[in-house]
Amino acid sequence: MKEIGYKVVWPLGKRIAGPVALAPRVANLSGKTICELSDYGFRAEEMFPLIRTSLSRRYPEVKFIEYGTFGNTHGPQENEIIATLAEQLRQYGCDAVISGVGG
Amino acid sequence: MGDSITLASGKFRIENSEEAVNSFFIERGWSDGLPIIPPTEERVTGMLASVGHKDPQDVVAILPPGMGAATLEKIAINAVMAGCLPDYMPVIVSALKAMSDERFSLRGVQSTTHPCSPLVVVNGPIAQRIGLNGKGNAFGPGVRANATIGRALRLILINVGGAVPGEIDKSTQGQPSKYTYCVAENEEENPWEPYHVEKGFKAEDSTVTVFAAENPHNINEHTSVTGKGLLMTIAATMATPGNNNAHFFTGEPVLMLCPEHAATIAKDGFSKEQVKEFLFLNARFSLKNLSEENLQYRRKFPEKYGEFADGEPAPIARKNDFVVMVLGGHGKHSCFIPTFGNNSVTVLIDA
Repeated sequence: MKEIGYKVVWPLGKRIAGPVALAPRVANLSGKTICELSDYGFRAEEMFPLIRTSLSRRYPEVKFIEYGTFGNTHGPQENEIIATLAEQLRQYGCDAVISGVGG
Repeated sequence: MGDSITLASGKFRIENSEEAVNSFFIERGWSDGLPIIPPTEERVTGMLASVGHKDPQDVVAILPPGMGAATLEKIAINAVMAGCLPDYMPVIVSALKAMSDERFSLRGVQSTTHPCSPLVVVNGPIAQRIGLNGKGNAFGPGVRANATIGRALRLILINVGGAVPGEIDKSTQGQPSKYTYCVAENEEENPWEPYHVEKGFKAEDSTVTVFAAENPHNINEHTSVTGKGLLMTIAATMATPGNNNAHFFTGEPVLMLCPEHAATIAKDGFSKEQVKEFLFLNARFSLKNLSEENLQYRRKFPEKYGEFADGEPAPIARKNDFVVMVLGGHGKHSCFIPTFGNNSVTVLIDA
């Protein structure tokens, strides 16, 4: 029986966004400003205070900008909030962000 | 024009058999797990012929989170793989435009632990033209357009959007409608205006609406013979606190009324707006059945839950967020479809 050969085409889409280089890691959080981001959905109101307490114990000079400052990063206003986020993070002198923990 | 189209996608030859092609695609995660139709150049150019003289490299949408470019060519390749006919292309293209609208929050839909999948509802004359089912067994098997349009979209979300199950698609349990989820509204037996007309389109327009939706939950009501009686059972069935609409108090819960239920409800004088109002007032769950920790959570967000943090009982959505459509064939089974919590999007189909 004759073998069948299939010439097929590649189904994957070309990625239009290349890899983004990570910002340099913060070696020590003492005296640094940490911004919190949340989608308000996964007990952030309990998780973030615990994180603040724990980090403040280890890095007494650390400063937090609480998630309520930035608004809900998920849902109807998500795109507006994300669009202004970089500027807001600069404005608050952000050194590090906590996102995806407690929403 | 099919023969004159040159494809830009990489080409590769797989010897032996269709089984070998399927193994090759499935092993690389380029499928939904089901066998695919091998996307040969001939088939893909045939699919592209349906979009006229547009450039196959035209980018219809950039699909997050992989930020893949959904060109007409890539859409056609995946449509071939899904088993689509060329006539389905306009629906697929428009559905992708709708999904990439920022109101739909596709990034979240693609990567959430929630099981949601884009539910595609087609209105207008194109539905009949391509044989899309909005009648008996509309969500079930048996009709090529329903089965393959939804499947093509899923393949595109994986292969172009990057929502590889278990990697980027983090759904805790998934759901069967992630394979395909596409119907036409049953406009013929809708006693009210069809959904796209309600959204401001003309009756003769063809539109596609996308919802980030859970599976349908059946509402069996063979007993009540009045509109109010039917709506009471429907509302009670919808009043579940664990659905995302109720939990986040956002998004648009969808009620798909079967034609017999819709006819009775309309005959008894309910407009579609009045149905929504009835659902807002009656699709409510008792807060007494929730745990104290759940109630504490609701009290922490008065801006979201307001009077429904401690009030009794609580609605599953805001009045204007309820969606009412007509779907199905003979029988007295409607269904409730909770959604993810984002917004649906309706766009005109360019066909």
